[in-house]
Amino acid sequence: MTILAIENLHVEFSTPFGAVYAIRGIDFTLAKGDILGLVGETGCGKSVTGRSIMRLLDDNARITGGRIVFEDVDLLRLTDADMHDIRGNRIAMIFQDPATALNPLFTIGEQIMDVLRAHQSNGHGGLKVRAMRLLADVGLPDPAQMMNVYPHQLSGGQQQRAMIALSLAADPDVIIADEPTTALDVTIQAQILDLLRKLQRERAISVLLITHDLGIVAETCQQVVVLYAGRVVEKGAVEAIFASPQHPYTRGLLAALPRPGSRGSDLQVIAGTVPSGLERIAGCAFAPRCDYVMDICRRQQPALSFINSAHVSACYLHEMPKDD
Amino acid sequence: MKLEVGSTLWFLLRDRAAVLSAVFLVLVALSAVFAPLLSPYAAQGMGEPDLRSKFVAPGIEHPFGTDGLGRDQVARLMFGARRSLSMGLLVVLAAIAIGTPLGLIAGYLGGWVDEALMRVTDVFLAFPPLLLAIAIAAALGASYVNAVAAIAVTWWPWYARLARAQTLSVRERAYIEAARGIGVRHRVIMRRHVLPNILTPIVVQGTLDVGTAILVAAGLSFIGLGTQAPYADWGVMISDGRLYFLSGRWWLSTFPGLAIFLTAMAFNFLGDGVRVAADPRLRRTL
Amino acid sequence: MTEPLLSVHDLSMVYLRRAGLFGRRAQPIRALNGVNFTVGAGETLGIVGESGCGKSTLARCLLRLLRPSGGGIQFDGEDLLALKNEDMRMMRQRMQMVLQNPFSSLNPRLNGFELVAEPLRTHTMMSRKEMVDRVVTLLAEVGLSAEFMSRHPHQLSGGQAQRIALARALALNPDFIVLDEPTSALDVSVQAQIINLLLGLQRQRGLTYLFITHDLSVVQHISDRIAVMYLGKIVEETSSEAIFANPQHPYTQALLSSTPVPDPAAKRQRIILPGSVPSATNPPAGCAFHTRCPQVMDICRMRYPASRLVARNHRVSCHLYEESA
Repeated sequence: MTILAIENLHVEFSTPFGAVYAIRGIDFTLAKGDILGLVGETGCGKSVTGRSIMRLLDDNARITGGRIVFEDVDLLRLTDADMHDIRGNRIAMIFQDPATALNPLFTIGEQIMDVLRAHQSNGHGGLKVRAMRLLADVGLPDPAQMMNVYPHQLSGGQQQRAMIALSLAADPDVIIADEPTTALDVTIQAQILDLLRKLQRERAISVLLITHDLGIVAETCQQVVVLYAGRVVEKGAVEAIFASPQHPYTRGLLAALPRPGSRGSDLQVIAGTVPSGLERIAGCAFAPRCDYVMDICRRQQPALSFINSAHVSACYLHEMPKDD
Repeated sequence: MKLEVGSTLWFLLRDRAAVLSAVFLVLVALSAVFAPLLSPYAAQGMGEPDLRSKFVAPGIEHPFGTDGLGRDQVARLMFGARRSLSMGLLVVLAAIAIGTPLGLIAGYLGGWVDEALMRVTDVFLAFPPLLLAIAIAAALGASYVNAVAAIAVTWWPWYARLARAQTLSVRERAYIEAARGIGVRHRVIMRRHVLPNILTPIVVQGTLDVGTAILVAAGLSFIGLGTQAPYADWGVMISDGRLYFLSGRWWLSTFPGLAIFLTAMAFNFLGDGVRVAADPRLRRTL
Repeated sequence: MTEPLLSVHDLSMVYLRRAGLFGRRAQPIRALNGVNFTVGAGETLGIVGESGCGKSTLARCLLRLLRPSGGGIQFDGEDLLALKNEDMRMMRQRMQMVLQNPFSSLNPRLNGFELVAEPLRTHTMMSRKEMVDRVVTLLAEVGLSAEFMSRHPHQLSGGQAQRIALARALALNPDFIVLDEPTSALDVSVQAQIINLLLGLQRQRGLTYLFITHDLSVVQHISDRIAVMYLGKIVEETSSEAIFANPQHPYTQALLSSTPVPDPAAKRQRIILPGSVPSATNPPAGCAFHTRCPQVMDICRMRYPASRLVARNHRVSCHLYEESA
């Protein structure tokens, strides 16, 4: 069952140099209880997508088209007051840098109890008991003591756990996690990813996991959406895409990763660079860098076509007759 | 940096008060520079009396009236702008020229050099600046140049502090470490790597300060320690006119007063605009 | 192996961090706590560890951007710590550094030519014409055209900026380059380009690298040997292959198991370490890893394990291997 659907989303930024097309038409759906990985390199629009869903874009950004449907409601048409009720309450967000998202002036306990009070979510026991249970749920040691500490007294990993506890306080249906482990060490990253999997399992929360790390996607997500230059190039079940990536960009990304046993050999690279957001792109955005580029790729944008029921990709190669 | 200048300008042009201020200041500066060509009373602007037309009230012939020696006040204002504006600019430039290198060296080297310099600035900053400037100007003797020097001496410690604070943050940047790793000498690091990267806030502060400097310079001239007769700046003009204000010749002090007020305000708006436009974190408020 | 180009023995670094209201209480931070290793000419040693393990402090001590508080560094037979400042400045021609984020390690006000020419200006008497020629050659070597001479850092992509940083490091034909997380700030496809470039330059110029990173998959690709650091000490050191095939120290094992692998089919036993790295101001007694170690024993809390050779070219500091040795 779909809980969140992004339909043909377009976002532009106005800058001194002209309009920057950050998102050029993105479609995907997040199923209830799934972890969906939104993956791509710098400037592909993955963070802008997350912020668009929360309607937390900067002042110079404009959503120029599309719908963001959460439980049959188009979030883009809600009043600010209605959106405020959704934000935090039904859809929560956790960020790369928890230190800036937590209020330094209040203890962790106060912040969590504030949210519990504001959202009047159902639960057993008093505010304090429920807050402590949340802290225990996210794996913070000694919850009773954690209630009384300030964010700066916690390590990076503990801050991220506290941030997750805070976002769980309102009992949201969807969590948008924007690079939640990028600022953390590998061993701490493993802990946080483990926690996300646990929350998914035990609370049936749906997670949109925004990351640049294909390894994290492979280990954590059920579904994956690969973005390039503000468009979806490939999406589907994680097993299908990692086992047989179809789009030349996805293939290039996977091949560029160093793997054990490849020592000293040259890695496969994707020639060229990502197109600037200032450009209008007529055909496939990846065409200038693609090894398999054809005439049509430069003229007309390829639509997403089915590889199989669990896997779609936007590339003309799939529409070619297979010679075998 | 090209982008910085370009985008700062882009954002600055969105600030209406700053743009209006800039236009106003350019007009004032142009009228000062081309005063001999623009005014039919250029000689009077330079101080020559015309005893046939004493104390003429503002009218068509003399829009701002004439003073007790019959001199056209528009011409006096335009020639006065030369001195008032240049005093303001020279004070700030001199203060930046003294304060920036000292603050940079103190901040970069740290240790006892830093300690010594900061104590010296403390001494300067302990006195009320205007009082200190008056004392120095009086000691040096009343003249245009001495007034500029006196004010600059009270002003440079602010720039030394600003430059030091900026240097302390730039010193921690990775490119400074990278330059040291290459073996670049400290002297060269300070000149090539630190100086260009601390200038923006100093220029912003300088723009904000020109208005205040004009005000202080006018103050010194008002009490006779700045520009000397037969020349005049705006401070001298207010001082000359103050005796007649209550006897109905209101125009003598009012117009130079307005000139100082508007110019100082324009520099403030412009400086504020530059400060906001040059700082990406503040731009959102535009 | 021949005489090593770089040998480091018992290197330690203690910072004093001022604490308290007036900075009276100075807390010592043990960033490096007796580090030993050697790097042979033409070899790449990878240093892996998480934040706070001391790897960046190590890089800065090697280039004497920081003064170590104890131990010794021999570079090509010279005792670096005994060199006078001016001699050390000359020595920097032979040892260079590339940092993690090219946008912060390149002065934003200088253009490509000025950035790459800076080492030449500092150490040679070249004319401007000679410098231009040399800069063009260097840019070509890192895969950039001559037009990059007039570009400022903000006009570059991350990969292009890192290439400029590399050209700068290569300008004086150094023997040895410290690479401090040179690809961590880059996208995957760009990371691959830079790794290939580093490998190619090493083949052509016979460079010696010290490659510092937190990313095990990157470091195994480029290194001959890998040293794993934890809280100021090297806990395991061996060949790049053996680290993956046969990790011995429990920390190395956990680090390997925590590194995400882009293969959803790989069913692995995950070792998830509890807690985080202890503070270097107050390191645990005995083996510093004992607070998180899944195989901790009583002795680990009391005594630091000596470094043991468990196989050829495979050193481990762990009590698990004390008896077997």
